[in-house]
Amino acid sequence: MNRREFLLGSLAAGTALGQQPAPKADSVIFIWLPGGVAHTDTWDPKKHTPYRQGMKGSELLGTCPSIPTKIDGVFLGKGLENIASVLDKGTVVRSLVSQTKFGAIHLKAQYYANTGYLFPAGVKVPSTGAVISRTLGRRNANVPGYIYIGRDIDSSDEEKLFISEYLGPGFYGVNYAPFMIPEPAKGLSTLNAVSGMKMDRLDRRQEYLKTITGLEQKQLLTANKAADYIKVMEDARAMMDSPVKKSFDYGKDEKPETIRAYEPDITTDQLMDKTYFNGNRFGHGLLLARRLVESGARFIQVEYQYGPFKGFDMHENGQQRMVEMKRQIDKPIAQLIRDLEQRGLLDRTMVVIASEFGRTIASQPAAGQEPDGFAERHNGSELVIENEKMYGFHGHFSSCNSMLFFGGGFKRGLVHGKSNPEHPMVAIENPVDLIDVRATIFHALGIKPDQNFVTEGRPFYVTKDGKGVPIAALLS
Amino acid sequence: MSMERLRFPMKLTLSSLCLIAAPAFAQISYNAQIKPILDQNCSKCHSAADRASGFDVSTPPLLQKGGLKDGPGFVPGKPEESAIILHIEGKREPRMPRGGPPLAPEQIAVMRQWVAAGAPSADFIDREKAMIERRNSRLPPAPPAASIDAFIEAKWTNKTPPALCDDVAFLRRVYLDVIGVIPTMEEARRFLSESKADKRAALIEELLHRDNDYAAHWTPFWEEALGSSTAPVTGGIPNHGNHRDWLFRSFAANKPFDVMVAELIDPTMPGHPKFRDGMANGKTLQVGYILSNDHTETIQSAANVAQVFMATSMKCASCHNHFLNSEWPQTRFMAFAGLFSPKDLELIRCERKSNQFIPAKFPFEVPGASPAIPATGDERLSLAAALITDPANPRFAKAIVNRLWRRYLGLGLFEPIDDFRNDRPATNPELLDWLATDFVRSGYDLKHAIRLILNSRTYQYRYDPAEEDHFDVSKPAKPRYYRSPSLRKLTAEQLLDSIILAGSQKLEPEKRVYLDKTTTALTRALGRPASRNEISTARSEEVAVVQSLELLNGEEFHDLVYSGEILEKAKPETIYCAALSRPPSETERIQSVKYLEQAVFAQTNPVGDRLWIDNNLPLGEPLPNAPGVTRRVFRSGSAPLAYGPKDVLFAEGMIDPQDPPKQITLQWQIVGQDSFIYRKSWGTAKSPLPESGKWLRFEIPLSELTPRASSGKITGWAFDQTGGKVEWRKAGIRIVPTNPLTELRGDILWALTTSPEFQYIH
Repeated sequence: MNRREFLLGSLAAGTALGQQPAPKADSVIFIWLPGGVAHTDTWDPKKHTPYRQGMKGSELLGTCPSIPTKIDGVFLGKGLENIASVLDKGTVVRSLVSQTKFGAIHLKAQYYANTGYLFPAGVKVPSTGAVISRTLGRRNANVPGYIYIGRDIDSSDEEKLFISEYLGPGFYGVNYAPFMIPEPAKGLSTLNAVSGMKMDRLDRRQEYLKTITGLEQKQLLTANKAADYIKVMEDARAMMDSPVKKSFDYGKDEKPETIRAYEPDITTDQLMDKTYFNGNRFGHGLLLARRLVESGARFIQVEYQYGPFKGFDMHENGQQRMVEMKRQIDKPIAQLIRDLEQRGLLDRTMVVIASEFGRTIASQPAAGQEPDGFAERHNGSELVIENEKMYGFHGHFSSCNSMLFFGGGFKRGLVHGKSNPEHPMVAIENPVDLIDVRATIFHALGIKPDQNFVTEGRPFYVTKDGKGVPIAALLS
Repeated sequence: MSMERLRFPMKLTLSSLCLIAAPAFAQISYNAQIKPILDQNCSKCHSAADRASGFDVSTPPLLQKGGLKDGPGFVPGKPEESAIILHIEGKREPRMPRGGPPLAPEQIAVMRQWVAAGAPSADFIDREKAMIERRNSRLPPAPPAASIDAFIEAKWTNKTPPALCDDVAFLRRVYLDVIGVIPTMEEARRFLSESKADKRAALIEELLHRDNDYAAHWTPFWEEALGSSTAPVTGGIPNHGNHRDWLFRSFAANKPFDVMVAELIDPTMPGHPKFRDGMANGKTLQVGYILSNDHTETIQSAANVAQVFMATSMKCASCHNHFLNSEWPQTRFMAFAGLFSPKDLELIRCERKSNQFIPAKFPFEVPGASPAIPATGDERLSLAAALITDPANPRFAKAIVNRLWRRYLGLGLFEPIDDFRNDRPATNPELLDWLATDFVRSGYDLKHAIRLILNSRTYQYRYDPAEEDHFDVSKPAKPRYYRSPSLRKLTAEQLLDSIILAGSQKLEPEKRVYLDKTTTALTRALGRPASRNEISTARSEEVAVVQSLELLNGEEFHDLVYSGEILEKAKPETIYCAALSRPPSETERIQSVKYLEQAVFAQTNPVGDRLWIDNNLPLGEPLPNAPGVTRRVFRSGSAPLAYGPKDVLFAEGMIDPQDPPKQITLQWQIVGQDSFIYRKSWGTAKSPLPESGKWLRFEIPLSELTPRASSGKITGWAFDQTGGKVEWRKAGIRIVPTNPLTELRGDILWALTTSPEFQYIH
């Protein structure tokens, strides 16, 4: 039985392929943790093997103890106590596999995770947010369909530019581009008049523009494109007065204790690498995402901004850095889930937590020196852990990863799939491919896997070649 | 290179070989001995792509000419005066090859002997010359004399000719189309007051002769079409090479288009842009337009070439037979892709290997071409380039003339422009054929074809929405009449360059937007891609709220418009001329005067601070290589902060009266720069330390830091001090109050540049 037959066989009745599925969710909050989260220390903890000088790589299974969660018999890595307390509201997939081994290349793996296509695809591929917001349209005409929180915009850094492309609308064009909100506290700056400009002047100026447009070049008023241009200019002005703008005022509207609940449980001086701390950017981003869902946004991606060898991209000192990263994300994510649940929003809001690959021990200790493959099939017996810097998971592992889902049509309290308790920690039960996971996400939103838009004279599908198959077991 | 391929071009140079007099000289062969040394050791830095120090070793004449710094590359007969000899011998710094081991003594000796012998190069094979000669021997017969307009009119059902556009519309169209920017007031005045009958033709000619501006406008289009990238490797992924300079030079010189494409693909062409290999994770990665590090890269490279230069969409056939176009079974594509790889490619159907290798073959019938497929990668690329650019290739010339047609009329003769199919003929196949043949006959002269199009009545018809053609994918056979050009939105580059020009009446070539490494929310909203990791021959012309918001409220757009120098004193009439190349009508003039009057009493631009850092500055750390200096650095501490040319940078600090530092230095990093390039110190002879014991503002007008003041964004801030104690709190930008009238004129310029009349070519 191949993958397709297997999945088809397990599809719940009434959701036959080809039919427009009934949507179970209206909005998505996609929590993006790039860098390669070591699933073995977080969502899929392995036996704790404390540091011992000279221990073999094969002996290093987990760098932290496991803690119980709200699902009986299911454990997470220590440091995720808050998420553990809400885990009964979600689904954990522990067997996400990838046939492509990305080796050292984060960007290709991230491209894949965000678009479902391998780079180079030969086409400017739209990201998940663009796909969903285009296919489903806006929930509220004045609220952007695709909002991106927590990533810098202006840059001349080649990696950041590359990333900006695959988070973008691809061939869909600027109409489906994300509204970028680098700093939640600053909101969407273009919803406010530029510094020094007052609203009455702004409106007078726009009124003046309207008055003079077409006084001479009358033919432009009847040209569709120019008429659209003028209309969109007015839509932009209308958005400045819309409910979305109020979403950004969380500092004013929310109780101080609510805001604090979204903040990380760690301060700069407690960090090993003080130069790379997102502060409240990530946590407040999640709070803002919740408020945006309330005001009618369709898709919001919140990122803990990626930096090579920073954040979740752990090479040296993996154990200590993982402790710190968990303290940064645990409280805010759990608070988001609780908040959505309390407000009755979780059922119709899908929360996804993802990273581009998992991690494993690597056969070489020094960062940046790993050969391609990153010990995808090694058991680490040739690696000697000589010092504490080497104690951690510094190898990229494409062969298995975890992914989390809350609400929005996903089952509550489910763990799907299993990975090997020893190296190599590959999936040993219910392996799932990203293409089908994406199909499942789309299915819950009422989108068929072969939904497509035409480019260069051919259809381009939302799952690769339109072949994704929803995984019925994950959906309620 | 095998002898097999050498044989043919060798014949061309036999006669010159006979000119070599002394047998002793003939003992050193340029081709066999000198060229390999240059290719292996020098050409990665000194060839068409990256002419380090302006030096290019690709051909003997270029080698002799030398670079910018060191005089001639060689002086025949005089090794001691020859830069290349002195550098490889280490007698002149730096020793070459730079950073690598010196050449072997016998290599140096042969180079020296060769120069001493007068640098004979009669056996040099000028591949470019050979290519042109071969092409000229294969030209198609001249097409019958005809005009574009006759072909167009022949298809009309309504035979009444439409009106031509007025001079202002023509002027802007042709400026934006040829050099990518609107005219200055003076240029507009000159053209509009001219009364000669042939003034339009004269203007087209004049603009086509502005070689650098013409090239600047073409470059970003081709950078996207080729996937050109400023970095060799991004995050471990090899890029397609940085073709910017090569493109610019090729267009500035109006290089024949077939030669250009052959140079791009064929590594044996002297003008081929070679790139330094990239390194990632301890691996060397090939960088270049054609990549073949792995199977995917090879087929993508082949598909890109087919799409861009033959308007043939083969991507679908890279994994399976093309579902929608029976012309393209997968094997036909894989045979083509094999030309871009050293070996025949394996058929991999939807990621399943077949162990079946498809013999390389060019997919189109090219009469007279040899069916033999060479055995090395370079030779295969050479062959691919020759076949693609062959006058008998049915698609090459059509693809490019159709691109030109679309560039200037808005819609191609066939659409989509990258997907030409036999079952979907062009809307005016006769015109397409004629243009293509004429283009080949002209020696693939782009300016010739452009001149022809721009001088046609068809190009010069008035824009009329009622007559405008539209393309609908679902009705591909619907004819297009070209009785009006299609409305075209200015590209990000055209728009931003034109706004600078409108506001300051000049545009410095090095400040054109296409050169900017940085992308911003504005440039992205306007459709300029952040990176060119996938190729693209067309940008979306859509409008979107995210874009309108940038024009309404974006700081970058605001600063660009409101920093226009003409705003200091221009009358509304002048602002109209600057922005729209025409004076306002009486109604328009009255409206603008009214705007200035009704608004002049209102408060306009309140003075204020834009904070970048608020309180909580962490403690500094001593700089490791500067004893006694403490530094506090902020990067990405906050979103980048925009500044305009008139603003003032400030930081609030208090010097400890008990322990004042010797010196304080503030430094700034801006978007597009990797390090701190702007700084100012206090505690120097010029600028003493200020008073201690109270909060003070350390201020620096931006104009002092950047003499050619412009807008930008701050991304990093460093506070350095030598000894002592200083406390810092906020830092940011103080916005300087401006004359309210200047601001209101800015409003008028904003309205004009934001109006459809400015935003579209019509």
